[in-house]
Amino acid sequence: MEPILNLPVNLDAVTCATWPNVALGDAKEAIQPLPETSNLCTVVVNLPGRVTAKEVRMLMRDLKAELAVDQPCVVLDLRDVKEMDSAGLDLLLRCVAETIRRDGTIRLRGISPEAATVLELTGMDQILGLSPENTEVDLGIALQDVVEAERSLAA
Amino acid sequence: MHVGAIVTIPNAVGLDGSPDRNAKTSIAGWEVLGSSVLNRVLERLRVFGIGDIAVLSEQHGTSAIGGEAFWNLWESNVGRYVSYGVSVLVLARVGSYTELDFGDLLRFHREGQSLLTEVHDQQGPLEVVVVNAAHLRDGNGSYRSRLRNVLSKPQQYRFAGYSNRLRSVSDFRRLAKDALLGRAAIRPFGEEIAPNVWMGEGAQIDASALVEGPAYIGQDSRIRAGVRICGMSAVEQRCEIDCGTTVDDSCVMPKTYVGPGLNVSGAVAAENTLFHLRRNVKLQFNDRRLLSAIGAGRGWLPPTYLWSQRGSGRLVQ
Repeated sequence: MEPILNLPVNLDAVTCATWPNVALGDAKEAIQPLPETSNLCTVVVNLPGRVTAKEVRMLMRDLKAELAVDQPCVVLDLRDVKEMDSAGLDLLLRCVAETIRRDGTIRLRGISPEAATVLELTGMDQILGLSPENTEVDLGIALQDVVEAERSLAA
Repeated sequence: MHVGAIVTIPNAVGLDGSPDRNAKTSIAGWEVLGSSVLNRVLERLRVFGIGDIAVLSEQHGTSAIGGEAFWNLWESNVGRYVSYGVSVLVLARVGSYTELDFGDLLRFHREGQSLLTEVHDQQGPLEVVVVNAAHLRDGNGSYRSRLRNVLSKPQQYRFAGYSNRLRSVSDFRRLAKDALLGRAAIRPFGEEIAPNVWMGEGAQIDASALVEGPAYIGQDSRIRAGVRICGMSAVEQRCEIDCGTTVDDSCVMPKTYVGPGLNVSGAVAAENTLFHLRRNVKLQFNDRRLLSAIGAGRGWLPPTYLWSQRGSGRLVQ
């Protein structure tokens, strides 16, 4: 597992949450329950093939539950994403907001061509600092202004 | 010399040129600068005096691609021409777009005294053949088998003009660019409102929009505030490009709505489908805020434009 932001990572504490292609109503089973770990734990979230309005509501509800830890370290892996719409982009942004609110870090990686196309179509690639040469990004750095705004609101 | 033509529309193809049975139309039916590839081929035939034209689709019937239903229809049309006393039959498949001089081709065929002439360019056959109807009339078996017998000994007509094999969506995009650059003899349907910027009748461009030539805005299309059209892009008829969107190096097919604040780059947008050419992906959207067919839950918005066909605005040459 690659280090994130050069922070020391306790590999025993690394856990993985995955979403297989879920039918509507199966979202609760999509994320494996996470065991109790130390505070420094990394959650790798492999988004499923479809991240559209139909799936997002349930995905967000379950993801929020998993992010409800102090200083979460989150990796969003988009390599399996074949379909994404504005609701899917909203999910990404809400993950970022949730993670930042808990003073955590969030990283995007493994962006599929389909996901990259949607990010480019909506201009999110520029906001996130994505390019053909740079396909992994620390959303905290990319959205620094948002981070600062969130922190000053929280303060 | 009585000349007839049978024009065949091939099946729809996907991004990579393989048959796509889920696609609504073949590339032959796609519009380039205001008129479909098929219509441009038909127009060309008529310009050269070939007015008796039958158009057949390989997707005819529910049978397999190029199946029984299509060939039955083909046979009956050939039979019709033969019985009407046509002397020469032009068989063209609009799998490729070719700017043939049909007059020269027919003259070559007549002078060559061959039963069949096949058009070739540097890359090979161009799916256009000229055949003497007398041979089809007098032979045995189906017309298809009679044609097959003659195909083994064609004379070749070497074509050096403009052709595009239209094997993929990328080929289609290249055709649109070549048309805008004047490399292909494709006349945009509309008025040239600025050097290398053409606009169809009833199109509306907001005064704050930026259109960089060469570019084409089709009939009745709406270009909203803050839109940027650049990179040799073509927006076909009855489209709506919503506020703040950039269309760069792309084609937008008829009746396509493109949502606000988007960046369509290196792509062909067709209703709710986006073909991204560099990444070689095809995406279909059910999200009307991004891409949708005009009329799919969206009304035709009232015009708030400040540009008219003869008005002024920001055009970059």
